[in-house]
Amino acid sequence: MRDPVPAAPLAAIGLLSASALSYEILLTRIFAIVHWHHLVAIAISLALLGYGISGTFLALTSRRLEGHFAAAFIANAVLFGVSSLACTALAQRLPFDPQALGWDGRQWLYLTATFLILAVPFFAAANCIGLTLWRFKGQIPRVYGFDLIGAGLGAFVVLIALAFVHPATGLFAVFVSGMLVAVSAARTLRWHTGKVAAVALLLTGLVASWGRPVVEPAAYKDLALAMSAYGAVVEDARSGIAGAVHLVRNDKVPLRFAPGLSLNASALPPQQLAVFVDGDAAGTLGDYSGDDSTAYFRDLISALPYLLRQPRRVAVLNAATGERAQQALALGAATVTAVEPNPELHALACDRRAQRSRYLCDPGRVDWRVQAPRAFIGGNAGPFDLISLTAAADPTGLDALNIDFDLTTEAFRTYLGGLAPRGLLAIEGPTRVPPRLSMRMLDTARAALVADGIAQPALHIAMIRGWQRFVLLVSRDPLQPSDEDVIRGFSTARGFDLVWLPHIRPDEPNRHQQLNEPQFFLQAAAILGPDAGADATAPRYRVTAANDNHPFPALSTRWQDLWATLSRGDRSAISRLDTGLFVGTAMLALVGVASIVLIALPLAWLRRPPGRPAQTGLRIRTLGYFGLLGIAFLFLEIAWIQRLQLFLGHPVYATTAVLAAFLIFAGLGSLWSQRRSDATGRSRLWLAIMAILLFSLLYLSYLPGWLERLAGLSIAARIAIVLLFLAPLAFAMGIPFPAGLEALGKGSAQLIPWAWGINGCASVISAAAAPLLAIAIGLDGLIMVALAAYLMLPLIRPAQ
Amino acid sequence: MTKRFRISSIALLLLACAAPSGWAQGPGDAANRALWTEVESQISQLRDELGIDRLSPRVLEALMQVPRARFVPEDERRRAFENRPLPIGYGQTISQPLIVAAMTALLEVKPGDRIFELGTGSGYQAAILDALGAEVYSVEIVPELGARARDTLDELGHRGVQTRIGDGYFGWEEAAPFDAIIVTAASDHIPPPLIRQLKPGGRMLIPVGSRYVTQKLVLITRDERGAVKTRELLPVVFVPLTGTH
Repeated sequence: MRDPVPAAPLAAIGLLSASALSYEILLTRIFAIVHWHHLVAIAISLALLGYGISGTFLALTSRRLEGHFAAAFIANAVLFGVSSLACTALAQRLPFDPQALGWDGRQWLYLTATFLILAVPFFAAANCIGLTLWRFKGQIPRVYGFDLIGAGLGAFVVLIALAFVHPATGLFAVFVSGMLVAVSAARTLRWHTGKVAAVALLLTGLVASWGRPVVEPAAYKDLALAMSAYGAVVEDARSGIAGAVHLVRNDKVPLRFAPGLSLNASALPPQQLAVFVDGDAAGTLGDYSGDDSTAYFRDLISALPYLLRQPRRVAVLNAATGERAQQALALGAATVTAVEPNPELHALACDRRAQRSRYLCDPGRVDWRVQAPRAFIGGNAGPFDLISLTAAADPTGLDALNIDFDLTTEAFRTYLGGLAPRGLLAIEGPTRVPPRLSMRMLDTARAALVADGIAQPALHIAMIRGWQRFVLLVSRDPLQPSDEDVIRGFSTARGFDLVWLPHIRPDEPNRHQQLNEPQFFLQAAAILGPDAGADATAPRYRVTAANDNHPFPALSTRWQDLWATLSRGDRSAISRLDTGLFVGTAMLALVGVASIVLIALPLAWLRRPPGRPAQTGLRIRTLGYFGLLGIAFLFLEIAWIQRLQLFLGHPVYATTAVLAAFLIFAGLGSLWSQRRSDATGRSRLWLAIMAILLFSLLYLSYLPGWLERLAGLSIAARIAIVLLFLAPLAFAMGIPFPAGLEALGKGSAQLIPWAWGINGCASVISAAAAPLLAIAIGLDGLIMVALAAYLMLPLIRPAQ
Repeated sequence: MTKRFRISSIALLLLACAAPSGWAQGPGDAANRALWTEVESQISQLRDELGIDRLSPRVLEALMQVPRARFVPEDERRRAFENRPLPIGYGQTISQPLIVAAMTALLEVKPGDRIFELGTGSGYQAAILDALGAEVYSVEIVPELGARARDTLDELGHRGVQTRIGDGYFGWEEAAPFDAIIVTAASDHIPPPLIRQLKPGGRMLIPVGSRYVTQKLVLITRDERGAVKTRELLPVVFVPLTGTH
């Protein structure tokens, strides 16, 4: 029986779209906490997969659902709410361990299951929206408008909410939203309102009685490992947009974090509390109330610049909870500027410091700035005698795909510009053998000095290493022989090894931390020495300078090694690859197969209407047009999410702002396009392509410079600026899809589901492929590929 | 991003309107022999990196004698004869046999040597050192792991292993100095108390890497004058994961 439908459930649609987008953004945070935070593109890919599967599902089943719209809508709304909780919980129970993906076949099953499980909520939400568009054909613009506005608002609501509540609480809110959508729809559609409300209430009561949903780090993350230790307790937990912060105390097995401590050290680090952000170790809070509690600072490798130049004005970038700022104070700095972008870390440090350190939160000694380091130094801060920055890299390369604009050539130039005469830039980081991050930093320093017009960068650089850490010193002024003597003395006394000095002798390195070959020195010489670039010393890893176009400083695996390893099927060699790169490639393979199997292939079952010719040429053009469109749209979207992280300071801000902009303005572009006359379809397409080209090239050339000047504004202002800049570009990007459908609609409407499937597949695969391609061709290259794809569209428009 | 699907939905819907296995009980002698033969062969191949030619008969006998399967959880026992690390719970692993063999050989254990182990884990490494006649002092921070290891060691008669739950950072002062120290739970720095508890001429070994891949072994030596040096062995050229899995 066909159910009576008095009005479209517009409020329900708006709320549902808001909830679905909120869930998508929440997933990026949940991925960061449970696994690691590279997975922004994967969350987008998941959402697209769910929407794509829904499109195929509806194309195949819509006739059967025709008479049960209200029931189907409400069932899917309930499914969305319940699955947002249940699927997230279920996915966390899978013992997925990315580090074991290379050799444990079960991990592929877990990864596949994780993907399919987490696509369910998006599938349910898309079913509701698709069914409504189909059922209320006469009100499509209104339905679509509520959908877009809801999604746009959802992006901002979740962004604001994340500043105050943990993502787990956000999940509960998404569940409640799903229930409200069901009740609202039942009321609007006059379909068993009372019973639906009772079921929704019952489910809400049940879920509430179980307590807040759990979002916990996987067993392999630092926090989980720390908590497994005897006596570990969480003393404080707080959550913000920049991450979930945990403070762990252990009185039974006190934590001691002293990276780069000399083997000859006599003083011990004090008892510490450990700080974790999203389950990853992020710093410590030491007890510096004792007289000799800071003595060990002199024996850390990071003490070198202090003993070399006795800096008075020091900037500590990415200061976390202030341990390095404490070191600066202990080693003689008069004033310290501690720059930390995560407000929760600063708050935690200064809430807890009162009894532990007299000076660290004394505004007279330490000026705390909650800001991105590069924006702070670039905003004419300083000058400083020392700018100190700690670089991080996972020992297995899990963070290889992480974008870090603080460690690029452009960033180094900014830091060098913030130095006083004879000032030093000090970069400390972890060593691996063969050398990787250390050499990338060395080459980045070289590139920055060369870009600043310094002809002999080798005279401005020094590097030493311990068994786990390195320190790189860079100066705008050449290092003096007396400086080199101090560095030699420091290293000898503490058992560190020289890696590079302007006048280093070949017999000096590799004395204390011995390798079979002096690999660090040889590679440093290959970068800075007179034979720089010689093939004989070419490293087997990626050690070239990182820049804003290739902001992946932790990446060390070269493409040729990845392909060679994978093509040989040599599982033991996989352990030598960066885990993050391998996992990213695995995910691309997985979503590729999933999207083809679940979106495209089912559409092949759609029968051609009787009497229709095969239309091979048109099918090829349809494949090309909608495939290229999917690639082009997603590449632009991902490229801007990644590029704008520099301006917005955090992936969550960038993801939210860019998604909201593309959602709202591309949607408006689509609506505008649909309302225009059929006769202007081709010219509208050309107009849109030209606008996309114009704005993209304009932004590629000038936007970084414009945004750099605006980097000091508040985050709300910066998000508004991003929306403003992206609005015309996104508006134009909304036009080609309906233009293509419109062309197909004139006599080849039976190909529309096929076009839909192709676009869905291309979008899902592109979202996963974009980060990998960006490594190869850069973020600008990603944009150029997208523009090339857009340019081809008018040539292959699938018109009869 | 999801916009295309919404747009697509319009057209689509318009069209729609128009149109593991069990582990065999027993030591698995053949599999055990095959495992250690493979490890012995790999050690030989890595002689340049490790600085040792081969496993001594004493070490090989100890390795073959201690049943690795007894130190891993029930559901991992079928893999106990594979040359790879295995999870033992609490985010920890039992080391790859190759690493255990290399570390045991590099420690140059003599009967009666006093050895400190930071990180008991499964207890497997301690059992091998005990089988070589060493006096072993081992500390574990995860109580459940420590208790399980103690039970296993007792069941297998390794009474020469002293275990303790707690903080291994300060070593085992009452039993110091040690002829050798093994730090199986690598941290960001080498605890100064451990260096002080190492006898002149003693050797300390630290495997560094992730749970599944040992990227390097760090050998710390203290000469008769007290000078401390490190030597990195097995840098990443080493191939850690082999065998059928």
